[in-house]
Amino acid sequence: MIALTGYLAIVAAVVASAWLAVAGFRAARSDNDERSMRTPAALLVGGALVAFLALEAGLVSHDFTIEYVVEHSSRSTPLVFLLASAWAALEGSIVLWGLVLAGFALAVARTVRRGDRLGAGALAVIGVVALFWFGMMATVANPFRVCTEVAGDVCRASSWFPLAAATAPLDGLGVNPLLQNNILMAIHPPVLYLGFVGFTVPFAFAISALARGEQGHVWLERTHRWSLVAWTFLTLGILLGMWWSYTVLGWGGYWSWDPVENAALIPWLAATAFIHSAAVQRKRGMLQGWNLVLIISTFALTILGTFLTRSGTIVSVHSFTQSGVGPALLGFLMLVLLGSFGLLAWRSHLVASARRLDSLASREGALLLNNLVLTVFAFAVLVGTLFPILAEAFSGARISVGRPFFDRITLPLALVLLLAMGIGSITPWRVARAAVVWPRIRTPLRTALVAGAATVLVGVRSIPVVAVVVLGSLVFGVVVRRLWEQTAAVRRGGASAGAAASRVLRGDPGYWGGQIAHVGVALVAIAVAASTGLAARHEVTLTEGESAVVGDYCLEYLGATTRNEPQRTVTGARIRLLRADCEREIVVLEPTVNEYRRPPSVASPAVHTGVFEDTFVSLIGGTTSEIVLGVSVFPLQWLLWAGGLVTAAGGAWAFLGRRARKGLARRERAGERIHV
Amino acid sequence: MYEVIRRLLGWAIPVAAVVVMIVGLWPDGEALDPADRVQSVAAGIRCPFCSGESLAGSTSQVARDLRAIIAEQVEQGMTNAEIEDYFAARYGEQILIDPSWSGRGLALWLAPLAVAAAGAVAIVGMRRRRRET
Repeated sequence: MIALTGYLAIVAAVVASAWLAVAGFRAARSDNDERSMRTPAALLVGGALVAFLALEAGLVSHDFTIEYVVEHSSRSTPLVFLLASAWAALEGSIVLWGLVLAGFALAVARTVRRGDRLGAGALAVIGVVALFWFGMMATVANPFRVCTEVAGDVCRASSWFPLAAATAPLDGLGVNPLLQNNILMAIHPPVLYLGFVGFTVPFAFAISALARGEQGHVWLERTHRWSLVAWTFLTLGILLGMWWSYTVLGWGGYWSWDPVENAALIPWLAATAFIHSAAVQRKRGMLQGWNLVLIISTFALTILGTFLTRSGTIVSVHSFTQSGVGPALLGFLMLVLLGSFGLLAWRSHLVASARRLDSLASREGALLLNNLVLTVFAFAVLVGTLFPILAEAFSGARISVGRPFFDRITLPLALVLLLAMGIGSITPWRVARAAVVWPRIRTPLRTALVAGAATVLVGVRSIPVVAVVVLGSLVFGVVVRRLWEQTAAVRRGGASAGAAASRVLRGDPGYWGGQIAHVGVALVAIAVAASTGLAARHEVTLTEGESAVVGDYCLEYLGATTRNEPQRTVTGARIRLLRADCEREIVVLEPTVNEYRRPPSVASPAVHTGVFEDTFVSLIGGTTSEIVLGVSVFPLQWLLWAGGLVTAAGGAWAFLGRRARKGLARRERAGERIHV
Repeated sequence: MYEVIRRLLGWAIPVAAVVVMIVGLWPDGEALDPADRVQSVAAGIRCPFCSGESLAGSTSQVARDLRAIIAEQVEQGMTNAEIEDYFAARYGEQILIDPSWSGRGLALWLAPLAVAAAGAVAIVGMRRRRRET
């Protein structure tokens, strides 16, 4: 029953997608009534929502006639992870993706009025994209396949036809242990998808504008907020993923240049470049063609990212054809690339930018440098990610590209980016004179140099770390000084400091949102440099009651613990963490190893976060009499999470502030009295 | 008088900061500690039977044994490249975390550089054409 409902909902969504595409296409040519598009958009959301809820219902009610439920949940799975299983595996994640896309489609449809041909065209593009996703759900990635033959706890055979004679095993296989060990795994994918899918909207408007031969930047203005929303969620999604890998994976890192991580980072870099180059087009009319290239690339990269993470290609090229999803995604990616860039080539005479650069020393110049660095960065990570796959596909050689390569390209690019961020945001448009820039940068530069010297004086001897501290402080100082200066100007009008600062920040939310994000990125850069360049790892073997000095700490093994929970067995070690003198206690930690019904067992490290560093203790191995502990020290680790949140907050400020201002303008037009 | 001191300090402080950084970060000329060299070579070699870990990062017995081999080779005075070649010959090229600088691997390093160069030329070109017209 659940399978039938879910499958019919998917079919309804397929119909709605096609309807939306046709209605949008017709309205883009003939000024149809906007209602002609709202109905299919609403039907699309309805279908997607019912399909999603049906999958959840199947999981929660343990309906083991559905193959997905058998393979990704079990009777002992706690409720929250049952709910999260709906997007823990391939087919389910595509359902969630479709639901998010449907939501965006309806939100766009609500902004389209009669005669809005650009918006109607964008809805047609969104309809085509939705047709692909829901089409995949109805065929190669059907989450509602029913189990037709059972062998133990698995379905030996299954059928796409929801009314096929179904049979059910007594219990399911359970959730992948890595995914049910931490609540973050329930939040990370939806947030990331909001970011990924969000870029469909600016992409759709760009294609619509291109196809209609519209010049100018109307499409950019209309999608400005959409891009910011998508960027903010993508930023948060990546941050949550890093946090998850830090707290679950047990090796003490948050970033391993894994293809799955790169698949999210590459579109983030392209989108960041797009947001900056869009500002150049809006202010100066330049880079029209480049903006189209960037938004098409960003969208294509989100598809590529999904392809890389979901088709199994990463493990080996040869697993690519095991499911139909890989070829389908690759085909769609090719269609997007050929169609979009073909359209761009056909319309290229319309998008040639008229305006030229007055001087390299200007805001435009700095933003172009930013775009160059971000593009090279995205490209290098892309090449590094695809290189092993291409090498294997074409020559059969198994080559790997790992951390040393990525770290080596990241450092110089990050330094140039920080410099461009520090100088660029206080450089005037068109032509910058030293007489204008120097007073704005003098004090922050001094502060940055002092910060660098202080870092050396406290004992840091790593050149990359000091360089990042200097440039990061410069970015921070430039923003603070600018805010201080403008606040002081407002305060001369008699406002209090807080009110004045808030007025400045709200006066230009786009600019200040960007500056907040810059501060966040600078903090992240410093944290990454510190936790990479200054980390210390140790290994220690302890018997019960024994203590040992490790670095600046002393660890005492108090005893083993075992806890049986319905879905897992938790084996832990109680460790007392003390200062190096082995007398002053800091905290008692309990790193554990969790064994689920299916392998692998997952280690949960225990972390003590201090002001200066994290002490990260994980249980590596051991016997009944002794244990092996991994003890790592990561300086300024908390700064990474804080910096990431500040970065996302900057994005949020830019779009929320913009909405508040729009609301203000609307009320002003309506003749309302507004007290400021 | 106050203004003179202020200006002097304004220059003296950043200059002193730069001096501190140069002195503090100047390479002290000592050759890398053998243990550090073992670690840096091990970071570039994959642990053969662990998933996605380097010899430096892995806690497995295999990694320990292989690190001991590297330590021996460092003691014998082999260069990093020679040690990597030894492992590549024994376990195949995929044991190296990054492809070497020669052959196929070169393309990996040159591709981003080529894009950077092309982008820089394009940006400079945007400015020049303006001057000509």
